[in-house]
Amino acid sequence: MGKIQYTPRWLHKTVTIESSSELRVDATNFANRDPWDWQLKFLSVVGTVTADDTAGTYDFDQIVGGVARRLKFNIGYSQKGDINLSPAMTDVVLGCNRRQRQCYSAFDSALRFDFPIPFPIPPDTGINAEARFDLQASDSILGNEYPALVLNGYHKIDGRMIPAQLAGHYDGLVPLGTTMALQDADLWNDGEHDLYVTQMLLQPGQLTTYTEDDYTQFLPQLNGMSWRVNPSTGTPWMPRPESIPAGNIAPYNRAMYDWYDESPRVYTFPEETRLRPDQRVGIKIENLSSSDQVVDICLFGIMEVQ
Amino acid sequence: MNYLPFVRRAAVSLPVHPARRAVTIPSMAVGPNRAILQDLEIFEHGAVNYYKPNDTVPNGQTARARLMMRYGWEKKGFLTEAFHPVGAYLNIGRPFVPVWKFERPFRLNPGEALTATILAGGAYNIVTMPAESTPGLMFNAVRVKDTQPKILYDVSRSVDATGTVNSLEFRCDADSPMFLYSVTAHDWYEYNAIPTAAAAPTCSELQIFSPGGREWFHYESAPTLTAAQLNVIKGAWLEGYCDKVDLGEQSGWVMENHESFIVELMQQDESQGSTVVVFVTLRGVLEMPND
Repeated sequence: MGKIQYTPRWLHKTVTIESSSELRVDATNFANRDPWDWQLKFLSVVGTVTADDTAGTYDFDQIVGGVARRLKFNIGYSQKGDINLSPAMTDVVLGCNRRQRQCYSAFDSALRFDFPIPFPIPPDTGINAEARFDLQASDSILGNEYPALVLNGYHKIDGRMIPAQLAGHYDGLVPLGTTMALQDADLWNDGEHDLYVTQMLLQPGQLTTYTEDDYTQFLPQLNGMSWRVNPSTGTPWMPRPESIPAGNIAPYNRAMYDWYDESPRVYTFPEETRLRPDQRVGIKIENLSSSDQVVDICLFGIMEVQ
Repeated sequence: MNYLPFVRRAAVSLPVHPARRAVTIPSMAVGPNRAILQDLEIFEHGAVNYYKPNDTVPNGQTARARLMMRYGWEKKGFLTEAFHPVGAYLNIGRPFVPVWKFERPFRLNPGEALTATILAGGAYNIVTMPAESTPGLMFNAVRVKDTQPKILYDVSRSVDATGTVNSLEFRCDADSPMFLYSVTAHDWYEYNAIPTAAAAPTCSELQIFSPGGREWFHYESAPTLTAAQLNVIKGAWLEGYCDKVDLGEQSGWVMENHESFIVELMQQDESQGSTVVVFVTLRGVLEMPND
């Protein structure tokens, strides 16, 4: 058996669940089509809370990237039965059982994703990254500029850890509905040693303001900016030619003014949950709300590439 | 080996694009010992970098998102060639109360005491501390001999006029050393205020001294700033104003005695078009072999 390369893998699908109806997500979207096992880590869900489904009355609940509570989820191996014995509501089955980081500052703090296993970037290779801007709510968007990406890591030279970083940003406004490649001068490992990345930071790059009761809020949207990030060589992290909302990629973050806890939802798989070649993850969602709900679903795991 | 917490804060007056300004923080390490860097905080004087909803009309706040930086080791190079938005580097959230968990615990020996001075009252911008506030500090500790948790706490005993300096003391009264893991503060400044100081001396200040008298907090000179801006330097270092950049030994952020940490800042060309004052705060622990 050859040396295993632990490669992150995100798979994403946008679905619309009509009001008062049930949707079985096409399991081919979450199939393991590679000849290697996956260690499943999480299933994240982001969306836009519909106006009649917010827990509170403030409109800004609708733009933090959250999902309606009146959805019932059932997750399992496709054709093998469900994981949860009975369908459970959004904030039960997708209630986060890990610490979520609160994000807020006027600098538009990045969403943080920690790689479960450091990923090596060999010399003279790098990262290709692009960002896409989609308006997710009707509120005014003041700024959607400079989406930025930072990958923190280290070189290991003569037994000593040397801090290292890859970074890129788009230097301007990303027009609505458009995808832009990030400036890549700093997204390349130009050293002589492997660069092990341990953390990926996604700056949504937009500040939303909303005024209510004399308060002017600043809200990082967690689903307005979408990303596609891949190593320049080897097995891709995000194989499909589409970008994935930031809140899906890095769900263990929440917007500071998410007062009613509508932030991206995440189901964390138990340790050693595996998806073997040709196995698929099945998801069934029932919408109890009186309005249609669009959600972005994303499966993340570590692929054991040999 | 003991690990002495340290905080270094520097301020820089940053003109409009394309001017760049660098802040260099030299190593505090002596001889073969090292400084382990814990985190880095960047905040802008007068900007809303904080949690609380603002009750004034914010002007040009989106411009703040356009402050750019890069950092690394002086003379050895930056980690990136280009400048990237400050927000892209921020990876630790700000806690809801002022607390600093040390990168390594600090050992306090029997009979030794930490001392602290706190400026009472204090007004940060529009938010004045209530007149009845009595500021205090608390250290979370564990006694070495029996791993018994201990709390070292001291608070101002009276409600003092604004500008009064109070002294606090935290003594190891056990017959065994204690390891101090974190420190929290209460009532010594309005945690959610905008980091804009009122005129001196109404701004809160805090200083902690090791048993040997060494100051934990040190600020570098910043000659171009006004008195009010300089006052900001002295407060809110135990926990600052916004999200931070995590450094840490596990990522290799260890400073030898000949090294200096450098941060270079730049505004983007579409920013608000005026000079801004930016504060850079570096925290960590210093190796102290004979302490």
